[in-house]
Amino acid sequence: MKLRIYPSIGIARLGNGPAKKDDVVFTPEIPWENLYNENLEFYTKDGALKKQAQRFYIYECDKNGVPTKKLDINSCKVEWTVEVANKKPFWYDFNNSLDLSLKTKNQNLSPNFYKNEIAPGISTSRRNPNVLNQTLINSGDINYRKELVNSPKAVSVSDSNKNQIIGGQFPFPLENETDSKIASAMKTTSKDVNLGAIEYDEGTLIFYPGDGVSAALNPSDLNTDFADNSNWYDDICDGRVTARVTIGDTIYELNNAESAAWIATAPPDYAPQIQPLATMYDLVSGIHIDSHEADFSSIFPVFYRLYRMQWVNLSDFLSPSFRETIDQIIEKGEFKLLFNNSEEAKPLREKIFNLFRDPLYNYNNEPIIPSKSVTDITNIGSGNEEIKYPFYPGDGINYPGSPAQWFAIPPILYDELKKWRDGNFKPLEKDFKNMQDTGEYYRKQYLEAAKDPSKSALLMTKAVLETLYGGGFHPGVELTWPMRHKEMYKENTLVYPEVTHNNCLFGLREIRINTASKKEQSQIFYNDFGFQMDSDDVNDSIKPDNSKHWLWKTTPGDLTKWMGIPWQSDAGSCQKVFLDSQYPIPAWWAANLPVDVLTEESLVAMRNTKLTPNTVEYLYANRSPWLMTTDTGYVGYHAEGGYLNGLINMVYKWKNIGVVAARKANVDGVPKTVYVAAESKNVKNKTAVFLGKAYPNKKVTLPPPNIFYSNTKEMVWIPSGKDAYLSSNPDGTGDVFVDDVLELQINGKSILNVDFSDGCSGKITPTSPIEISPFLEKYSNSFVNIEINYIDKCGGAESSSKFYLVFK
Amino acid sequence: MKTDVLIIGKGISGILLSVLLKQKGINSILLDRGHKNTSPLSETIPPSTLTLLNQLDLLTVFEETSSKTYGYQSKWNSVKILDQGFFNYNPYKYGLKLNKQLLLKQLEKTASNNSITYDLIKEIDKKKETTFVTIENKTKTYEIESKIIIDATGRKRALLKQLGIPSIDYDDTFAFICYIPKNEMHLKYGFFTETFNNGWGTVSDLNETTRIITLYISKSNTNFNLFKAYKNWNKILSNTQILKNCLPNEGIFKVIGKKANSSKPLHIVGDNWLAIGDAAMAFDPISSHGISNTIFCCNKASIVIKKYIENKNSAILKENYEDVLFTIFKEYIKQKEKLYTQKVITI
Repeated sequence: MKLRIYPSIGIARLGNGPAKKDDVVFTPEIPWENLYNENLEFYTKDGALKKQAQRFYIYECDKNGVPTKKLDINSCKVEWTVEVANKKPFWYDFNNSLDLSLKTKNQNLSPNFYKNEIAPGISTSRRNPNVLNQTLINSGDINYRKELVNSPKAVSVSDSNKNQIIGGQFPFPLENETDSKIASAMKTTSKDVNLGAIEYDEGTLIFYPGDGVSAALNPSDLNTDFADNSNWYDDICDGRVTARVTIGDTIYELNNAESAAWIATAPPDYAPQIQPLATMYDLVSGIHIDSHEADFSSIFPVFYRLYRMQWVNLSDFLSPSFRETIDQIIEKGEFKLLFNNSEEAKPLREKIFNLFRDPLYNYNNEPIIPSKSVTDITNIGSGNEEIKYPFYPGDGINYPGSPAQWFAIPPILYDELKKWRDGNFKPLEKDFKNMQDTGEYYRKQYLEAAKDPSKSALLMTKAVLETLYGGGFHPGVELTWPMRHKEMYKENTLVYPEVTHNNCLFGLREIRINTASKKEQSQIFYNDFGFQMDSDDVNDSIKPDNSKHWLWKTTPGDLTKWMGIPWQSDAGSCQKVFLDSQYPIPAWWAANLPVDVLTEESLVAMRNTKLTPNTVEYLYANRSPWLMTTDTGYVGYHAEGGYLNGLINMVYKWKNIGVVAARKANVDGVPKTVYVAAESKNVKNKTAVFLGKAYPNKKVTLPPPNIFYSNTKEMVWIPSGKDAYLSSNPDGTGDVFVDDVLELQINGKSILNVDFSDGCSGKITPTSPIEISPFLEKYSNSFVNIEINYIDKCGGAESSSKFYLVFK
Repeated sequence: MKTDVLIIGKGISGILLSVLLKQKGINSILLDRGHKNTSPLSETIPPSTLTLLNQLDLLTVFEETSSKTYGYQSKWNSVKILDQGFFNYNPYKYGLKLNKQLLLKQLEKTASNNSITYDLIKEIDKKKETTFVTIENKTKTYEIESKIIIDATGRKRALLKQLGIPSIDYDDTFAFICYIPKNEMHLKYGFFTETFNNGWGTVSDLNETTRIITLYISKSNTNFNLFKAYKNWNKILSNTQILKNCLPNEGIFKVIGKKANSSKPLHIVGDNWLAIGDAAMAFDPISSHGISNTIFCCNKASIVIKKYIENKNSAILKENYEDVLFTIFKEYIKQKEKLYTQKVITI
């Protein structure tokens, strides 16, 4: 029997909410599954941004490796192991995609990149360049750069050991060392930087991402660059997911490139129900374009995604826009012509086809995206060809005047469009009147296919890759340019040409990362190209017999090392890109990092039945900048606005910004389902009562037992129907502890006594917020006096966290 | 037992005086009746009083046991809301909202550590320069010899009563106090005063969950009895803009009645006795400066006591203490009358 883990590539997204399966969102397991759900909540009851967790399954496969069904967990024992790392501080600065000068047959890239050098790769140097090998400084032989890789040991979970935290550090002390040399040199210590947590859940594995904590080792170092900030760390990671399955006397090790899976964490998706215009699945499929007969399902997705960008970007909502074009067609009753291959419909197909930019970039007169650099010698305004779709910047953004400054849909999508234009496609024999009905139809195809156990596994991988951006890569949102090369993959084969009968939807593929074996990993884990890396290194590495070919053997941390650090910098800065014209204004990855949004408050205002229909329309059309608060500093005076402020503020504001989610409109004259941005501040039903201060660590002076701190709160109202927690933050989060004992009295009666010393073991173990609702039940709907006491029980030292009583 | 000063009453004024005397090297004994009303009232002191507290070296302890407040709002027989921010007060741009129990506990640590709990004052034997007070509690009888005795028993005026000094009432204002859970109504400064048909009221945030509504009304008002039951409050406050919106949508809450009139004794000093705090003069809460007056009064008292002990001349008690305080009281009554005439109280 052959076993494999699915999805073969997983994605988890950062959030400051808890790593608990009831309080996270899961990465979709069926493509398009979540698109219309009007009841999704992306903030917890406390107003924390939920983590997006990834669940992994084990499938039985046939002799060709095609999954047949989920492994029956009752018949076996499973131990899951996860090994991840963060290599960003160890890797290179980002200037542009280093494959842009590559001579390759890769169909994802126009040959013009190589032939005409329309946007050459720019060489780059190391992040944290001052961290050197000891041989370069003294005579010793220590590679301090290894400390820049946060690489915690692999952790495992099973039925008998269900939860594990992946506890990392930055800088990461060298093997057999307890302290970091870099940190010591900076007169500080390594910071705990957890990279996530894993849970065994009825045979499956849940991977939870980190909390989204980013900081500089030196607190005064601000993150002033969008992608490269030395001294900084974040808790993004990627790595391998393996399993050991015991069935009877047989042990199956799912730990090689064919059977293991890969997990990567990414920034939050702030519009999880709006799909990227071009997805990672498109790119992976597009490495080799298999000839196949097109049907409308391979054309519709790109239309639909572009049409739905109206919810996150003003330039896709107003006019001219693709939305406007489609809505005009619908109005004229011609919508059906879109999926009709007749000659009669050809002019319309031709017209729409011509709206799209050719990914070959065989032209060079589109508007110029100016650079702030003084060496930008292009004449702004000289690019006078009509701007094509999509209105998004591309990989060649660094070269004003290059056609590749603009993002083109990947060739695989463009080729399908061409076939469609020429009528070479199977028509859709339906009577749909608009985009929504058509979208729902294709969503049903996915749901239908998922009922087939043999397809459900491959659908999982596809569902993951469909949520990831497939360009432009500067550097990108989740993963970047190496992903569009065949060398990245151990396996990339089309298993099912159609998702359902007559609906290809680019089929279902088996996709496996070309991971290094354990032995290979031990040899190449810390490899780099020296002080500098350039396009030639990448060019060499493509050749299988070249010594640089290790670049394409993936070890933990290698997928995410190319991304910006801290991730918030890039997320906060990749918004609009201003031209010399006022409309349309291009923007970066609006489907994950929205640009202009309809706010929840606008929706509430629109529901006022006293408004005239005109006013409702104005409110509907009034879109606000998504980063309303971050790019101006803070709510309040706008004196500090600006790009740098946006970068810096995003480091702590990211968890409060609006997530665009589907909601029932309940308003006449606008779509039934609208996508509105709701912020964490919209979660309000919470009260925090300060109980006790954080007591600094001091030597005990009085013999134990002794109350070393006491505080009383009089006449505190205990509400009914709410949960009560003791936490160290007023939002109900934050671990609590007392060295040694916490006592809580209500009206002079002790109701809680928590000993954190584990019987004076010498170690104090903080706990997550303590739920005390049961103890307060009999006091609900009354005023009480609360006394909190910190008690020293064991002598030695005394200290404590802050204590809040939080009702929620 | 022997002491310089015997202070009867261990409330804020008694403890404060003991602290101030100790600063001057004068010893004292505090007599404590034990049972106290401990419901917190969240009294405030304005920025102007902080200067005095600083001079008395007491600002730190007050600040440590209170939270800051930045002003108050009121709607006094007018459609307009008056907003009194403390931002332009110097040098302190804030007032303090006291946690009185905690403050007393902290002050006590620096006060005289001679404190006796008593049940009964059995006898006061005034001699020319010394007074002998005999007190009793369950276990013991004490005789305390002192140079001067202080009435710090608040509105009870226990000592003054024993000495036969009559009280003069200037009005019959009564307070009805009610603790309510906070609702979604937010107060800019956590304090609001508003008038209504039969009287006036305040709402004051006590802590994160709770606020106090206090309604003031003349005891002789025909509607007086309605105020005793919370269920009538919605109706009583129906014409208010802020107060009524602070009442929670559901729940019945306990109403506590309390005297809140302006009164003072005929005299507040005698041969070798003196009254401080509310015992010396009690204000209608409209002044909202009860604690400030106590601080002012204790300071004056500590100075005059020192002089008295030094030269044994009881005339200076009247000149330097009673006359000063009575002038203040007169001025206060004048101000109060002015405010009350602004407000048309329909009876």
